[in-house]
Amino acid sequence: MISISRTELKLIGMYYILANTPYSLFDGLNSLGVIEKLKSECSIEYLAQYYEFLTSRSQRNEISIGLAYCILIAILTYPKNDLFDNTNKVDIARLRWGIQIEEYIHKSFSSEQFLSVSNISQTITSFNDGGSNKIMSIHRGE
Amino acid sequence: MSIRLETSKKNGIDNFQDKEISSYQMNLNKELPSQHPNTIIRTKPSPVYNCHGLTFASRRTRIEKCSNINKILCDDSYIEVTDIKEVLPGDIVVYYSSTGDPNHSGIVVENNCNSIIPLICSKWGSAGEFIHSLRDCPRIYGPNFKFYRCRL
Repeated sequence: MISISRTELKLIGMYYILANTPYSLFDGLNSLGVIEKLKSECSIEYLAQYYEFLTSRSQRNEISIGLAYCILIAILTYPKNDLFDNTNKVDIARLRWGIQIEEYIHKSFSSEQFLSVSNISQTITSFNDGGSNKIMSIHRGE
Repeated sequence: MSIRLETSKKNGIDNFQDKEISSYQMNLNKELPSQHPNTIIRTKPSPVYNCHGLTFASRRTRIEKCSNINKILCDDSYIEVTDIKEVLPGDIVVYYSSTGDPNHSGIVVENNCNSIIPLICSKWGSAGEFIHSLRDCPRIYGPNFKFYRCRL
């Protein structure tokens, strides 16, 4: 379980609204420190499951979409891990700027360093965010 | 949804019109002036166009690709105005990230001896249009900028 503060969530939503280009969204979200927190506290499988959960539900808002972008960036910049194979896939095209952000990451960073998840169409289908599988807690006491 | 959009040399420009505005966006638009107290809100939020749509497409649509901005600047004969004192109302400003991404743009609305820094009219993403001084905008825009004048 990781904790993201209310302020951070608000900034994620704000950057999503204010971004004019995919790259500016990437730069804005990357500056928050949330992505590093996601990578250090969650396994890539866990992130992939939560990405699936956020992008498959019908009710979306700016914060949930912004958070989905954060998780996508965390997955795309996660250190290479052989355990993350074809059984754990993410559909980057579910987010409007997903493909551009993936291209940007692979252009900007060493392709050897990170996972490649392009052209993947299948996604994880089982995820339970209730009960003991609590993924995210929102820390309200700031 | 997109519209037909071309440069003066008839090169197509990819674009996208969004449809919906949420209550979250409406509320954010009201909050933004408290973070930038010297700005003036000019319009309510609109999902239809973004900053580049305001600057280069008469508020009709969103332009989001870096390559398209460069194409417009080239095809429409935009010349860089290197001396900030020479900048005139009607010129445009393009903000660039440290990697060269044109992450924001706007139109110069005032630059005279009374204002050391030009005043810009720009749209902040899906939020509204704001009148602001050159640097008084969300920190995800910039940090670099260039002024241009169309010489068509």
